Order: sequence, then structure tokens, then C-alpha cells
Amino acid sequence: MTATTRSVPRRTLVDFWLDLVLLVAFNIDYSFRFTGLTIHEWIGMVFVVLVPLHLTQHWDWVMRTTRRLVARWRTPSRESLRLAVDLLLMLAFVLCMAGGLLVSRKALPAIGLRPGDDRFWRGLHTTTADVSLFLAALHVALSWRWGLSVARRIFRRGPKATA
Amino acid sequence: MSRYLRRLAVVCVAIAVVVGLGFLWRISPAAGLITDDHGDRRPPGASADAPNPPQENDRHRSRLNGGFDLGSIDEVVQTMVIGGLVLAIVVVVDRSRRRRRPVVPPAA
Repeated sequence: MTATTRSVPRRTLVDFWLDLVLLVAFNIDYSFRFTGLTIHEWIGMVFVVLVPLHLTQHWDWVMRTTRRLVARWRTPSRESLRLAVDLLLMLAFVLCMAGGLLVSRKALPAIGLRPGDDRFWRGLHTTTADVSLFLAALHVALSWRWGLSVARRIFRRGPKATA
Repeated sequence: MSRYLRRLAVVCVAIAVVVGLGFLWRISPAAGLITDDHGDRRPPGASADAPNPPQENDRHRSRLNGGFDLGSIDEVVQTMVIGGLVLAIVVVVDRSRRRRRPVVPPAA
């Protein structure tokens, strides 16, 4: 581990890499023709583990911001927009994962579970995936300054690294 | 560690509540709002076990097996372009807002 990497707090590093893995995995998983059903479902299973971890990492921020905005509600701010986007993304993505699990034809049968082929959940899965793609992009975009600053600190090399 | 596990438990409960809302939605009249483009195309009277006939744009049935299809890498690029566009719009709006209203450091 370089001196630069060490200067970034461990918690920030975990957040950054977890966010990046989720973003790349979602981009690949959304591209169904590229992955095929089997890989699509197994990446979806990874989300079932990683998304709760991501939410846990930021749960304090969600609770703190909600309390602050409820206590001192004024005109909509950037923070309230972020909270609204994050909550909607959580709703959409959780329903997307649940829909995916409930119509799984490869991953769950491989571990001995046989969910049905429900039209509602199949439709909900595809609809919430489209909504999640847009909201996830917005979610990342609203934190672009944080992402850029952490990336600079992690990948900074040479003399600047010790500055 | 126990604090982290407590928060994880709260998150799992929140996720369970959202999934529960999904099940409520399924049995509510609003379930009709969700349509499945890849729905039942079996001919009338066909057995429920009979497979749906394939359809040209039925992506869920056209790639049931196999690994990554590098010939479809354009779909990944397309997905990244959608995300990139949203990101670019937000960054441009954010930067122009800051230029108009620069952050003034507090007086000493």
C-alpha cells in the first residue's frame, strides 16, 4: 500500500471501492445481451449481498439527513434532492432485486430453490431496472465531487503524492 | 462491530418492508400498472406448461445460456452512455451554478 493510499481513511476507501464495484456491476448486469441469463442472475445475487452493505455504510447519513430536513424544512436544497434520489433508488433497486429473485431461472434453481414465473414480478423487475439505471446515474452524479476527490487522492502518484 | 451489525439489521428490516410493499402492490388493483413486455404469447388453449414461442426482440429467452457475448458489447457501451449523459448534465449544471454563486469563505 502506498503512502497516498494510506492517507485516505480506510472507511473512505471501502466506500469508494464498494461504490465503484456496484456501479460497474450494475452497468454490466443491465446489459442483458452481453451477459446472458446465467451471468445476469449470478451478478444479481452479488447485489443481494453488496447492496445491504452499501446501505449500512451510509445508513447514519440517511438517518441524520432525514432528521435534519424534517426538523428544519425550508426550500428544497441539494441535500434534500440527494436524499429523495437515494430513497427512490433504494425502493427501485430493492424491488428490482426482489423481482429478479422471484423469477430466477438459473441462479436460485442451481441452489435448489424453484421460484415461479410470475408476470407481475417479471414486469416489475424490468421496469425498476430501467428506473434504477437513471436514478443510479443521478445518485453518482450528485456525489461527483466526492468521487473525483477520492479518486485523485487514491491514484495520485509521484511528487504530488507527498504534498 | 456490534453497532455495524445493528445497522445492518435495521437495513435488512427496511429492505424486507420494501419487498413487503412489492407483495402488497402485486395483489392491489394498481398491479395492472406493471406490464410485462415478455409476457404470455402461448396460443389460446395451449397448455400452461408449453413454452412461449420465441420472439425476435425477446432478450430474456434469446440468451438463456452461455457466457459473455462480446458481440453485444455495444449494449454495455449504450448503458454507459446513458449513465454518462446524466452525469455530464449534473456536472455542467453544478459547475455553472457554482460559477454564478461562488462559495465565499467566511470572514476571519
